[in-house]
Amino acid sequence: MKKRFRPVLVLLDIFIVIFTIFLVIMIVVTVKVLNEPDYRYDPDNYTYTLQGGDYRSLANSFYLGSSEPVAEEKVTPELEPYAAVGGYYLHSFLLGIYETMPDEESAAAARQAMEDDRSRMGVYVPETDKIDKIFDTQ
Amino acid sequence: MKCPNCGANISIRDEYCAWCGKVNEHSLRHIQILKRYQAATEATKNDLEKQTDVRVPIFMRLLVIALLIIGVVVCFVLMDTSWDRKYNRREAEAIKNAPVHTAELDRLLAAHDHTGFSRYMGSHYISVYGHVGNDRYPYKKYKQYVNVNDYYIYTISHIMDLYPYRSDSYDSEESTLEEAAQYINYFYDAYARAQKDEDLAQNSVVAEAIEDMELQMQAMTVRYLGVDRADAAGLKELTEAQRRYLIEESYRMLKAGGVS
Repeated sequence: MKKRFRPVLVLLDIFIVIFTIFLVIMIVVTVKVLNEPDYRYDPDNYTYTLQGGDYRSLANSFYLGSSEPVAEEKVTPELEPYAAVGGYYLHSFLLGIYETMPDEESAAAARQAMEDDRSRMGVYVPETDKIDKIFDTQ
Repeated sequence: MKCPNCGANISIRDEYCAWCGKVNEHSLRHIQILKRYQAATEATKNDLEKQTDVRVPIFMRLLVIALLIIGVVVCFVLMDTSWDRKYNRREAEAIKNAPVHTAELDRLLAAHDHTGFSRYMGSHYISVYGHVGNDRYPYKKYKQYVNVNDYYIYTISHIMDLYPYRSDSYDSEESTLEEAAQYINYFYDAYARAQKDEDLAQNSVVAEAIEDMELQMQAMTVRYLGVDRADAAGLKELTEAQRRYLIEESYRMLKAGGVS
């Protein structure tokens, strides 16, 4: 027997197709949001930052609490050189403040921190010369 | 009709002759044919009802649509609350580890390591604003300090943007300088509020740390923005507009190689 054409059913079928497509998109987006990679732990991210001479962003990413910095214990060996460059830049900046105050004790601690940073920089040690020029230090 | 046996008058519906008791063959055939037609009629009626009744397919489709909508809503809720759940988890973690965290924060505070304090707070997702009104919240004691420290850190970050000022920066050097000056104003607002806070007098470690931060702010403006040392000492006494003027003019002079 030939089936009768039912506009209501056709309309509901169209709704089902639309909602199915929407749900699939929502599932994909939700999975993406819930598994969003944390770019703070991506060394490549910092390589580009360093190449652009944006030392301030490195200091922000690893040291300044305004931007949820990477915790000290979570700095992996791959991230360490970038954290060290950011640290060297920040400690150079702070050294300028302590020397101006003057606060010899804090200045000595900042110099020591810069030495520690330099020893962790790996291939990026040449960056220290550029940072020293910025702050007229050493 | 007449009974074929006795000739008495009987009806076609009579299965037996009321007069002689003989079976009425015509009636039996008639009833059988009637039942067959009734069954056929019933089957046709059922078929017709199945063909014409759209309630079941409509119900099934509505059910599927309802399930799809529930799926969409669940996805939306999961996405929308993901940050809240992450925040609550972090806060619970920070409260659980409060003895370790407060010990380290107290050490950094006493050492006047303002950037170290900020780094520790930020990297361990510690907030002083959690559980507002709960006096037992372990990080509440740092509230006045953090209010000032936040602007101290933002100021450092903005002044750093000028050292060096990079041509590929999103903001112009002038607007970066204006923002730095604005954050210095915010810092001094927070500093003034902390000074008026009666609780600060009861916490000498926090009070000393805030004073040290102010001294560092003075030195920062002298060293990196070219503010005169005597002027820097009076920054906290100036109005916002005066402070802004002093900072921006001093930096322009510094860049031009002059003396402010």
